[in-house]
Amino acid sequence: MASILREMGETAVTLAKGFSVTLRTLFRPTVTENYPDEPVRFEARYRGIHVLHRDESGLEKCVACFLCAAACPVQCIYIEADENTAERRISASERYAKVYNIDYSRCIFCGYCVEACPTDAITHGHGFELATYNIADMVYRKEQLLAQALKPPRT
Amino acid sequence: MALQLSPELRQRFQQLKQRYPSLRSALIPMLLYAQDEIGYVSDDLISYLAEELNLRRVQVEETVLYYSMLRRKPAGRFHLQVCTNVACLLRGAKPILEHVRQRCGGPPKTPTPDGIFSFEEVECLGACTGAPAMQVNYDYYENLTVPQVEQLMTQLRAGKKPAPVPHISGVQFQPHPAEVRVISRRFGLPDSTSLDTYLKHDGYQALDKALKQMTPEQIIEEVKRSNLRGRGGAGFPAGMKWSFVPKDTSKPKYIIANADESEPGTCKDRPLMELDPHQLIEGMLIAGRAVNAHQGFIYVRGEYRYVLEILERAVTEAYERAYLGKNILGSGFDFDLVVHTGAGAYECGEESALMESLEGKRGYPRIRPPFPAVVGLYGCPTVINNVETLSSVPSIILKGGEWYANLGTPKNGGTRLFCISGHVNRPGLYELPMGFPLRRMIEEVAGGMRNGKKCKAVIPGGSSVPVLTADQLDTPMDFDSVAKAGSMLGSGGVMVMDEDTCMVEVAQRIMHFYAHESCGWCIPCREGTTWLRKMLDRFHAGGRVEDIRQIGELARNMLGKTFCPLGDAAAMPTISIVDKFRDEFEEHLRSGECPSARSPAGVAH
Amino acid sequence: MGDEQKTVPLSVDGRSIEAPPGTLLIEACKSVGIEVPSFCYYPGLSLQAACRMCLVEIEKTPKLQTACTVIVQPGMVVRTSTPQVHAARKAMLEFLLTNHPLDCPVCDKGGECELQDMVFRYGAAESRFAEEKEHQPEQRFSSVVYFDYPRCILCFRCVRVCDEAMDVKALGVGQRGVRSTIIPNRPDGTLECEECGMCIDICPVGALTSHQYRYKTRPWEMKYVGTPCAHCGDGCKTTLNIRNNQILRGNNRDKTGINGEFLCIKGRYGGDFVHHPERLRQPLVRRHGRLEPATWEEGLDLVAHRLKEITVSAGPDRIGFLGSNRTTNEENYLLQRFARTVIGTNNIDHHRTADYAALVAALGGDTTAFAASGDLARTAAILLIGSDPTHNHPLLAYNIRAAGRLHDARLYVINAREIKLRRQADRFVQVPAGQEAAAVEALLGAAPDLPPDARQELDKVRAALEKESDVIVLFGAEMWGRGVKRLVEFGQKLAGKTRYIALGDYANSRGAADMGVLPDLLPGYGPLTDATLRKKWEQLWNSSLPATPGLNARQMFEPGRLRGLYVVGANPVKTFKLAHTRDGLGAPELLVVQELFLTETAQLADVVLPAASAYEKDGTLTNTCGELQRLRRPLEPVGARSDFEILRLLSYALGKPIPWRTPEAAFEEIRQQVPGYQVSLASLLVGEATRTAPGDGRHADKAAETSPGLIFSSDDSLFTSGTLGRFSEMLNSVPERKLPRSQL
Repeated sequence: MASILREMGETAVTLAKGFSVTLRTLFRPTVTENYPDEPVRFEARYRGIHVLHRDESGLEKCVACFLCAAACPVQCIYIEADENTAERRISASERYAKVYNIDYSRCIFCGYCVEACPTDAITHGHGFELATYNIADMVYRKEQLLAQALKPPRT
Repeated sequence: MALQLSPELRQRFQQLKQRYPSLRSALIPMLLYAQDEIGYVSDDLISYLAEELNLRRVQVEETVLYYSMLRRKPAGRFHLQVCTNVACLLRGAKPILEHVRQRCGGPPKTPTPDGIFSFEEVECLGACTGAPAMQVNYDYYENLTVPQVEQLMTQLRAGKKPAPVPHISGVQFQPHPAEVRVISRRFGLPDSTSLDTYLKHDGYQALDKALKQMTPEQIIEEVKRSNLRGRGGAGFPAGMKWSFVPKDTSKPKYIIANADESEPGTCKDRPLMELDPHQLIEGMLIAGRAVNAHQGFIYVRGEYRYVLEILERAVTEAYERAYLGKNILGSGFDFDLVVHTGAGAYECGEESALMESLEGKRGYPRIRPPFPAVVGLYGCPTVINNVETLSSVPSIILKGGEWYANLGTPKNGGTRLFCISGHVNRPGLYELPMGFPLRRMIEEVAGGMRNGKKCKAVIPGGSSVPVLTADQLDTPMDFDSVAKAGSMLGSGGVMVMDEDTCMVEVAQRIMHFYAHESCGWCIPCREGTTWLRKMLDRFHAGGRVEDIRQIGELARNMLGKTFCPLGDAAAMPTISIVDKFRDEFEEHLRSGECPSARSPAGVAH
Repeated sequence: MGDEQKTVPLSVDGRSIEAPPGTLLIEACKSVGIEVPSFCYYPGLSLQAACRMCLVEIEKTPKLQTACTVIVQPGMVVRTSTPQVHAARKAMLEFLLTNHPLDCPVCDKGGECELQDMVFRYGAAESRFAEEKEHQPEQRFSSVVYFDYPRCILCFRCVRVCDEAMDVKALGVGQRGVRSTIIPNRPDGTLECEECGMCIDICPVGALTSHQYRYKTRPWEMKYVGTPCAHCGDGCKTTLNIRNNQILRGNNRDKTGINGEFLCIKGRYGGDFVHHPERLRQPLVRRHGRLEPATWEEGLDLVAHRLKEITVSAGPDRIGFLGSNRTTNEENYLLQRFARTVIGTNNIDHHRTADYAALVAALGGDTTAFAASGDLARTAAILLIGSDPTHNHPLLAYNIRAAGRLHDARLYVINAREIKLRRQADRFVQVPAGQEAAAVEALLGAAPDLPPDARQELDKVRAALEKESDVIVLFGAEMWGRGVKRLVEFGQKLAGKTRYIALGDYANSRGAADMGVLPDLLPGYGPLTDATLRKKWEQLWNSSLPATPGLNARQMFEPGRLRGLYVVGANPVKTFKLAHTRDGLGAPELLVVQELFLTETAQLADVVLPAASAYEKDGTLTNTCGELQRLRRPLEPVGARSDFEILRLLSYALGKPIPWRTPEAAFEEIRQQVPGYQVSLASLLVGEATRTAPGDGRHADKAAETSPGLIFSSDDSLFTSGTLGRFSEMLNSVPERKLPRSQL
């Protein structure tokens, strides 16, 4: 008999203990993010889809030096360079990236490309929604990676 | 557009083309004379000369662009060339330059709208004892002040050209008691450049003796005995140099007089040539006899055009009276002499660069060995000596090597023509025995410090040598003693600086010179001089603490690593100024400006 | 004097090493693997000692010495890696970087830059230079060469290579001191030169860059394939730099191959014809008077059908084959077998640009008398008759100049024109055009009808040659048939060893002749009329061979001779200067052309089959000196097929299949059967040039029988290259191409 009572008491204590956690947590701030209903919050250094930046005059910072491609351990960056002309200036330097592709089916988001970049042209953004039904869509072109121009590029 | 050349110029071209063993040697004189006529070196002229001399166009262009006197654009009718190098700087060249700059307006080397004037800041003109000096086209005007320059310009504009100096200011016609006159003993004689005057005063007697009574070996022996050391700067024993010339060679041999006097603070060859040209010719003849050479060249710096003309007259006279040409004095000895003009390059004072220049090329120094005595001009054995060295030879032969040696100190034979400039009362050219104390030179011979100021520093042998401080004034002025004091006797250009002188500015001006004159061949000199120039420019207007150490370090990085001595020449004075006057550099840092700027007696202010 | 042959012992970094007397210290160090860095020192060019990077410590000398100027001395003690030496190197690099822009990410040289490497290895990590850099905008010197002043480190390699090695002297040095700069030779600041690109290639930094490669890619992104150049007969090895199946430039930085680092504009930048938009990508068949695209099946079936038709109705001798002097040995070998066994005719020839057959015959089986291109640098004397090697044989001209400059070889030139090599010649004899053979008669002592001064000069040339120990005779298309025979007679009379090079125009001119693309000769110059020889080949190919010599190239174009003309890689309308109509080609009712482009001849064809270029196929080429090299197939063909494949497919379609599946199989037979081609496979496979020496002397009496008009050169300039040159944008872009033949 006593053992039953003791058992009941212990059960009550255990329940109280358990629910106290629940109760406590009820009043704490919520950590769960309601993705996709609400936007996701990132740490500043989160390594997401790359961003190709522009300088203050709107020109592309990338000078197509290929160092990111050279640093990339999975060879997911493909570049074709070309020369700026007086009529058509894309970057501030002599050369620019005519083609700049990153294959996200291979990218491991290691950040080496960012480390290698001498002009701070490439950084990791916070984009992460890469899922697709077609693997070819995982190859992002320069136009998809490029930061929006703050103002129209100088011509 | 066809090239219009006067018949006289064409005739001169023909003469020049026949004068040299190699056609290309005529290039630089042809360019310079053509520029005198046309005003600049035009594209057409380059193409014309390329064809005339069997060169490619780019070869002519290369040469033109090297020499500072050759211009690819027209200048004004009167091209005012203001020297601001150390000797002139010390005596107020900057206000003159500033004045000229203002009066001309516009950038340098560009004609004024009326086409009358153009101006240029130039390096040492060889008028240090007449500082500050300016050259108008080829005419020298010395001991200038701003009002005098103004007057000169007014007169030039009015078409009345004032007479230039007849000869270098500071040359002594009345010897100072301390002087021992050997090579300068004919200075002041009436008509001293003429052959007759020369003959009246022991002229060509040494030659006669050398040709008739001495063997070539004896001549070399006599010169060795005289302890005559090279007067160009390095102080190499002249007799030794001659003895290196191979005797058994089928190649022709050459004698060159290095009259490319460009070392800042040095102006001794100019009077030796303009006042006593035959002494040099005789010296060259004897040197030719000694090494069995039959062709000589006098390489005169381009700025000394009137000196070149005096020399050419003397050479013509010597040919007419058979002191040059075939069978001289009936001895069977033949010797031809050509007076050659440079076109503005300090580097061409370096012997191998001079030979390149004489061959009509850019004045780049050559790799040594082989030395010029074996492979020199046109690849042939060549003796190249300074004008003063060669001018000393006739007296040595005439009076004996021993006599000459005894005039100086051991291993430092004879006398030297010292050019004393800067803050002294009587800047001038004084022939003093080797080993003469520096203090007496300043206080006694040159009349002491100007305005009773105290001496702060002395550059004893042209701007390429380390400076001496006031407590080193008791150094005897011969090669070995000055070396012991940590400097070099160099070319004998003594520049004296008083207590108000800003040593940072002196270092800065010296580095400007070397950066301007670096030929660009080797990396440490080409990049080092310019880097130091930029640093010193910046430092003079306000520097950083680390600059002081860095200036010294960079200079040491150049020292001993350059292709030719020019790099060392730039490094040595810089190192010595930084080391010896470090407090002045620190003072600049503390006050954030040049301390002498506050002093009205400051060098350049 | 035996002692002089001994090596000089010296010590470097504590190691005892030996070097031949006269060796420069820097080379002695390099030979034992001790690197002494340098910029201005360059083997084969004059010494400069300007960059001061090679400063080393030598015992008993107070100052550091430049290893590039010091000659090894016995007992010398050298240290190359002391703190003092390292400090000096660091200081020099610091000086160099004061004015050098740090735009490596943009600079084309980044990744293969000597300055970058040296700074990485020896330089300081940080810059102390706080002043303003000298700047000048980039200059375009020519359609090939760009110059970026701030990047230039003034090592003067470009100036020296242009002057000393190329004898062009288009580059000079302007200004002085820190403003020193490289200047081009024209007053407007542009270049007029051979556009060889040697200056760009030799530049240690990115100061000189090429238009073709500019800002395209990076060195590590490309693949590098060393293959013989497709253009002239010299057979330089060009290392093609390829990205995405596209040639971006050619160079030969590893200095392997017969040409070392030398390449002319064609080898360096002339590979772009491959990518020309007008390249044929699919077969064309004439329908209703117009050439229209067709499938390979349609094209080949049509050709097979028509060929069979003509053979049956008119006999095989109404069909003729014109081969190519660009296609590979295997293709040529296959072509002549195709003509002789599949069709059954000896009507086969090609545009002959040098009379190799006459030379082989005149030498009468002496296989040691062929000189290779490299032999020029080691001979005592060179006799050049006809041709203009500067334009037609840039490598041989380069070697001839080097022979005189570096090895004191004498050069004697006999020519109708004032060719540029006269400048290096010890004697230059100008004879009236067409009188080159007469000049040889004069050398032999006859008294031909030549101007008296030319004859006097020729006497002097003979006298000089008689004193030479070793002579290489080069002759162009001006010498043929009997002239070649007489020339060899003269050569055999000389006291020393005489060797010969016949100068043919194109990449496989020699190979076409060697492989028997000739109406009267079998592979290896065996006469067709020789029954035993014929029998050998008949057994080998299991087919009978027609016994009578066929029509030569000129005869094939005579009206009515042929009903079918099959042209492989040739453009006879242009080269033989024929009327641009079918009648001009002798009005054949069938004209088949295998080509890269729609040439004048192809435009007239019934069927045009797109062929692969030399950069898109396997096989071997024989250069004009007889050096055999293997193509490395740097690119994959797009749409086109190799001539080998086309002919093989046709042989199947015609019911007489030729069994070789690959060019390698054909080459194996060549190697076994063709005289002179018994070469080592090993050296061929590693990419070396292997000498061949055909030597069938049984044909000696036929040497003089070469008909007039068959041997002639197209006389290309440095900037033209037959059909290929017309489709190279780079070659077309240089203004010098339009100038009268430049003798800069």
